[in-house]
Amino acid sequence: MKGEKRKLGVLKFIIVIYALFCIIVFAVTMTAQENLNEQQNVTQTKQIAGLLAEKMNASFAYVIGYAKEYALTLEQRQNEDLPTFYEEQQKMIRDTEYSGLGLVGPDGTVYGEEGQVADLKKYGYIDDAIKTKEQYITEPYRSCVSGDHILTVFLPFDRGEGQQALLFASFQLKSLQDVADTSVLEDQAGIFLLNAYSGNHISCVEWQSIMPGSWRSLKLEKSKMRFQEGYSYDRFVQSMRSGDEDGIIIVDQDGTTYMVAYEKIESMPDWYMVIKMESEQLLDESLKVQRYIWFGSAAMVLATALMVWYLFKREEREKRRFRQLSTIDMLTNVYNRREFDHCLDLYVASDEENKCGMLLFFDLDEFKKINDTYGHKSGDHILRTFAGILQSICAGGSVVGRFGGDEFVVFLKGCTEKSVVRRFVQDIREQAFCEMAKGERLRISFSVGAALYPTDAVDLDELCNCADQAVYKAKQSGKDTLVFYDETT
Amino acid sequence: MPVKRLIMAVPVVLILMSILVACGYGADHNSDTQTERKVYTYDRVTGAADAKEEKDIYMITKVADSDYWLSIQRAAKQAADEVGYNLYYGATENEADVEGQRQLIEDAVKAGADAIILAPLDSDALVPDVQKVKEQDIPVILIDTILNTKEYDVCYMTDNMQAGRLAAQKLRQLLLNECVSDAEEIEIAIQIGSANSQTIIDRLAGFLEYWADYAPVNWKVSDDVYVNNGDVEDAAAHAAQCLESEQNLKAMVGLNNGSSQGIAQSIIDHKRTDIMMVGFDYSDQMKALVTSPDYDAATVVQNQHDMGYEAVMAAVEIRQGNTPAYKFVDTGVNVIDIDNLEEEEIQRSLAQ
Repeated sequence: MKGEKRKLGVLKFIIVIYALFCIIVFAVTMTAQENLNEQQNVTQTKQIAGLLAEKMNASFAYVIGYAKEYALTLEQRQNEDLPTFYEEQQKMIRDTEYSGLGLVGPDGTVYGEEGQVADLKKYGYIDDAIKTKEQYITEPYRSCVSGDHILTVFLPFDRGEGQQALLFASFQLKSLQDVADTSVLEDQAGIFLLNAYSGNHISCVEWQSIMPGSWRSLKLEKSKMRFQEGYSYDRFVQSMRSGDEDGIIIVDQDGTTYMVAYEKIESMPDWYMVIKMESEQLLDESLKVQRYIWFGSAAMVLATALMVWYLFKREEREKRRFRQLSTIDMLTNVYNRREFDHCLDLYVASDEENKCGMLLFFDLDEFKKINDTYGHKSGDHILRTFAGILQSICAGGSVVGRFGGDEFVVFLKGCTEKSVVRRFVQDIREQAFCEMAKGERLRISFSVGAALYPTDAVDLDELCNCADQAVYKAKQSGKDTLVFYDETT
Repeated sequence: MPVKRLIMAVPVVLILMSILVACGYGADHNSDTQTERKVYTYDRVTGAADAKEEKDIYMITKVADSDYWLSIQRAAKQAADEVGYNLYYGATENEADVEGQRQLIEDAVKAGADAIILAPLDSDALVPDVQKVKEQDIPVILIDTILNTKEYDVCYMTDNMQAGRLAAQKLRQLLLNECVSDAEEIEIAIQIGSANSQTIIDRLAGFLEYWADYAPVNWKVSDDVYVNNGDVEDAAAHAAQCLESEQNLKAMVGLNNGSSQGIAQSIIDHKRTDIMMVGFDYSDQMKALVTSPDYDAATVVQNQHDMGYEAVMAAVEIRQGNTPAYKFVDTGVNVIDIDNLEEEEIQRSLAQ
């Protein structure tokens, strides 16, 4: 039994260790999965920003491409005057996507539509373009002519003798905004054009109540942003001002985590394409997979645990059954001889004080005759009945066994008085009846031999011999009687 | 045990009671709100009440009790008198009452308006309403704030980005005048009244754009733009804190009236003649700072008079079949300092 308990303890320990192991592996896997998801988010957001910036560059190149080519042709026509070119432009502008075309001569004379020129002068863009002496693009500004946000690109062209003139072409910011406005990202991302130095950014799409064409300031939004570990406002700004091609930051704002990816727009120096998306959105699909993995893993762990538990229980049942098979007499349901001896051995080896008891051998009288008369089935029935009577009368602590055939043995622990034994046997005798087939009530006759431990014998085998001798005497004395061993000597 | 149960039941009962009271309050409050919705009416500002000709201009602005809007109304009245048009004026009680403006637009159309001048409270929410007005061939002239649509005839407003640029330009000039070198590390603190006002955001964007392009790298605008939510005392308190704690502080900027009032007051209270300031509008505090020779300060003042006046003139032109030359007219600003204060144009703009 001690061995059994020890084995059970070990098994429980193994199960607990296994469960802990599963939990740890589960946690590590989920953490790794989350990290992977975050990495994937970062990569995907950057890719989206990169794609949009590429589109922006391509769109920009397309928009100013015509003007660039025109500027080149103007360089070939250095003998013609600028007013002529200007008149030409006003005729061709209808066939272009430009909202305005104009020229700035080497002497600073400006040829252009009044409103367009007024805007350019108001913002100082003409002076800036002249100073730059190379391609110059304005910030988006609101045109007085159309009321829309436009940009103007200045393209220098050579007029000979070291003189340079400028061609300027204005186009709608919407043509660039439309590049960023995709149905795939509809309502899911804020898309901005951001200036690295001022931090001003203009929205390209409608998102979270921000309308396209609305200006925003990074300095103002900084107070609402909480940068996650590893990211900071200074690093973000410095990265763009250093001219990094791209980058990403993760911020918490108003309780939501956002990925903010930025990609340089080559055709617009100092400007970046910025995508701002909720982290969770990109995670949607991978979260679904993650959930499936979680549930699957949890189900597997649970199933494994249940399986182990089931196997454990089954093993217990099998052991009990096996134990039962090896200890119980299958016919009468009392201990078999081996188990009876074992019980006695345990008792004798125990630490109890004043160990004593009466060993009783019961031998059914004329059993063979009964078998022959009534049949083996009836004989088995008599044996079961008698065993049942013994069990019902025996007190707790007493041990009942079958030694085989028609022999039963009972050990009355702590019993030393013959009178008690006589009373015990008398009780059995009074109940020793068996209902047979056809309603016959058969009296079960039996002989009993009793030996006292440790008085008659200390050794258990010897004690059995004593009891055996006593039952032999009982048989010789006419059967159906009780004989004590000390009466045989 | 019964005592324990009673003690546990008390918070549950309190919570249930709170819910019931809140529901009851909410229901009552909601019903009160519905019944209390303000119905706005027009006041005839000028013109004959029984005029039969199609000369009715309806002007709808943001709030009634504001010097700014009253000056626009006066300018519009002046123009209406000059051209002999009737002018009806309506305004909401607060800048959140978009429904109020919607009601005023509907009423103007029903009343047979020949032109509507509108200062929209919301650049998106009122787009459908204005589109409906245009469908009925009624000219729509916007003032102060633009709509996110092309369905209007002309807009007269301050180009707030340019105003911000001019404020930055002026500050740079003030610093250069004080011989602050490019190498000197100085800080500029900015305050605004609201982070949700596109007007203010545009001014900030314009300021920062100019500063990034033209100011020396060492002249740094503080990363933290302070938002005082229109509280002048808070603006003053924050300005005082900056004056006391910022070592390299050299200038302060207020991008709206309330911020400018607070900053100016604080500079005066602390007698910080070493701090330069650029603000907006011409409050008493800004006036005290700008007019004092002890301080280096300037203020940016809008030309709201032109908004009101030109809007009426444009309405008349459009009614006569003329298309405005421009869609978006920047009514401009004046940057006022002690040097140009007495100029006629400046005095005229201050008198509006």
